[in-house]
Amino acid sequence: MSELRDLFFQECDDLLESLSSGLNDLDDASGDAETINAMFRAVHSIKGGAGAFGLDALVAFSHAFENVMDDLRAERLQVTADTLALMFTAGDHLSDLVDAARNGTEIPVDTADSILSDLELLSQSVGGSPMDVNTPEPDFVPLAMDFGGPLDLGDLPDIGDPADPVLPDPLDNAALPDLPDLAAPAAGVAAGLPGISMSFAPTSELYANGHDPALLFRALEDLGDLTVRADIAGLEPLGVGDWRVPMLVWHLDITPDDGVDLAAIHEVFEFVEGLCTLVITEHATPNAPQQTAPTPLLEFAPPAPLSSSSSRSEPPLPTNGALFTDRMSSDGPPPNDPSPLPDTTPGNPPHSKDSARASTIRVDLQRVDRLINLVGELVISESMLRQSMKELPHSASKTVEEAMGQLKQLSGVIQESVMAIRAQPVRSLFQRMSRTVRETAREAGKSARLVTVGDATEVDKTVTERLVEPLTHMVRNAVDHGLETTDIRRALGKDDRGTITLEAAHRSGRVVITLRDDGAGINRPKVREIAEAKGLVRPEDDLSDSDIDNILFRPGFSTATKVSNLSGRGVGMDVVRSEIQSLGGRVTLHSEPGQGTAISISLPLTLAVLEGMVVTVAGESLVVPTLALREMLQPGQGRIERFCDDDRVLTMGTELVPIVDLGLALGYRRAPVDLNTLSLLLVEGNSGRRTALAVDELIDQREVVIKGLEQNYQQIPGIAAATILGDGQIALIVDTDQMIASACGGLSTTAMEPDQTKVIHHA
Amino acid sequence: MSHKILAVDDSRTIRHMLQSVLTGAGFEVELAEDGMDGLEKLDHCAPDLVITDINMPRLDGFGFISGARARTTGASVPILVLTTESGIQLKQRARAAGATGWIVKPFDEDKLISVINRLVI
Repeated sequence: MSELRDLFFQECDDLLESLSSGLNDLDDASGDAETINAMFRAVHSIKGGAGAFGLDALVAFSHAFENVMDDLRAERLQVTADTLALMFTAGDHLSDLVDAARNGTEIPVDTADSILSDLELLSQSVGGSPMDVNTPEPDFVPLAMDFGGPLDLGDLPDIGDPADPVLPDPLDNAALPDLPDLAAPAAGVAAGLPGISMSFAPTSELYANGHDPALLFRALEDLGDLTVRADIAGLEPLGVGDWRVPMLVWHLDITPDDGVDLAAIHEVFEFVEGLCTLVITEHATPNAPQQTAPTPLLEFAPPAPLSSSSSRSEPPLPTNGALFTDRMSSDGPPPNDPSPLPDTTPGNPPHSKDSARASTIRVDLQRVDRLINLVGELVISESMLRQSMKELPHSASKTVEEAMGQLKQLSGVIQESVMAIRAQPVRSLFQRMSRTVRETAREAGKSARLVTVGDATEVDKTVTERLVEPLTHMVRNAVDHGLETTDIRRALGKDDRGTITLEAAHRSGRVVITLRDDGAGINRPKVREIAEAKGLVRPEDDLSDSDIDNILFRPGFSTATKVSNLSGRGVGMDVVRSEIQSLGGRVTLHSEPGQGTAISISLPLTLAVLEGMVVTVAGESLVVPTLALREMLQPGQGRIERFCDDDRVLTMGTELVPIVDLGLALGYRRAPVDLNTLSLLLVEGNSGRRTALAVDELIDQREVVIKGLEQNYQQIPGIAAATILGDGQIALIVDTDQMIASACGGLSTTAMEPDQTKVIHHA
Repeated sequence: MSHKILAVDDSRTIRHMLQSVLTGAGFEVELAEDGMDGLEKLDHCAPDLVITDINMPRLDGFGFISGARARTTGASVPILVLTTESGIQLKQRARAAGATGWIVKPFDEDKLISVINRLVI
């Protein structure tokens, strides 16, 4: 059951996403009737599933929501700004309810009630929905078979209630006009009914709806001793009359078993009510049918006229009775219409958006990760094999060479395909932001909307998951600080409503996500003022616009004068940036006064492989991520100056760049080496600061499979992860940002504790 | 030989649920995601009974039932409507389209099986 529950909640996520996407479409007026239909179905499916799991709060709310959706669908309600606002709120609340149901938590009752009553009011304002059982059809007569059972859940009877055994739920009843009250006799005769006679005359609709009298009789047989007589008096000679009109009438006598009540007998005929003429009579003495003048207990007839009650002009043939399928009739059409009917399918044409839907399966993420890991091993084995072949005394034969080439190509393709499994569109991430924009705008008393571009762009699942927090924070910032208030916007001649744009695109092997607002842009004088007040910059510093903009990312900077519960929350853009950096991402900011601000996040497509430069230091192989690499200098190429006692700096034009000897920093060697004999790798961190890493030798640039150290060992300062090279050697991947931070912090090459570095060496 | 049931529902959860309940009761189960899919599957699998949802994309339950009744494969097969709504109007529409019976969600497993057993030969 828990597996089914998981499945339900997974499905809820998808349904909420399609609801949210529908709302956004309605919001920017790109929605149509099918949009509303899809939204209706989403809410409806949540209700259906929630009912199955007994999630009453979810059922009740989605029911009210569904009614409003139905009103919209039937155009009893129009999509107005107010309606839409309520729908957004309701959508958010529905999502909260799903979360609450999933986690077993509670939701504040007052907010829930107010949204619920808003929805109900809206729905009632247009006269309610016919789906609502509280507003029954005028001709709806409450049924005798109800037996007064509790139906307080509206159209969702509580089937699990053992105190209500007679209620034939979940089978519901059709209208039965003039049905006598069955409750009294049924209760009185429950211990054993006297004989019951029935006369049963089916209509053609009964057959057309897939019923078979023989099955009804069989079901009756289970309830007692049954005799069946067919009355053939109405049978026309062959070739006379309309063969499609049933001519047989059955007379049934039953002596019910102990404990069988009239409700059980009635239930057998439940689905054929209105499709037959049925008269049920009870006898005082069992097995003495029609001795006394019988009083009909239950009698119903099909609606008249028979033929017009069907919506189909050409009812299909009853295939149940051999008599009726005889082809000898000359009056009627041939019993089997030979022409196939592919085009008679009613409903929407199949060329809707949904038809393009790809078929999908759900796979446990762990399985995918295992596969990714194995493929990583495969790629490594392949390159190890290649390496060994090169070292063979005799060169390999041509066929072996070709086979190796194919193997390399195949393993490359497999690796790419496997990585693609983890990729998922940023759509769900973006749609979560839509809510953030709404809520933040509401709290800040602003008007804002979210526009998304390229939300089909795919990114590794882990990346989208880990982007939620930083992106939420950025979006809050954009609405809270970026956008002007409605009054100011109006005064400036801008649209009252601010626009936040989220755009995703693939650019040279990376994903770039850009958050743009059309607000005031960064208030640079104010930023500078605050930075000076906080001692982040000196008044005499000559700062470019972009320098000032980048102050926003400095720890300890926040332009909010009060810590609001919006963008505040105690984290600044520095936390956002470090979170994105930990995903291998870069953040850049661009602001135009009066036009707005754009923040771009550039991310790797996957976190499983990394493009890196393989280098050696004191005989050990290390990998420096290419992402951070700006320049490479051969030994003696750079101008190295002495700085203080033992520190050295690299002169790059007017800039002095600290040099970190990786051998010393990571504890591979104790004694300093002449830096002029080493190669230098100029690396740049996300802060824009640069450092030169000194290494013994540059080997080559290649893709490496990242192997986390943390789950197998522990986190090591200066090291991001490990990998296995083609020759089977383990190489550590350098954390350039940490190297830069430690180098720039004190211009020291010995920032790392020696004890720790020793551990690395032996690891 | 076990009876074959075609279950048409756009909700993965409900499909999964029906499949486990019905296979548990010894039926062979074929699943379809919406009315269009249902009609295709109907032609291929020739079920002994069909269970269908009403609200579905592409082709809804009413459309599916009418479509099924217009085909030789579905002309006389019992079709049960599985719905969260018990409104009389819905039932009348379902019946007019050719539905055999209906079951209100959330359904009781035993009840579902007993109804099915009453409708298959």
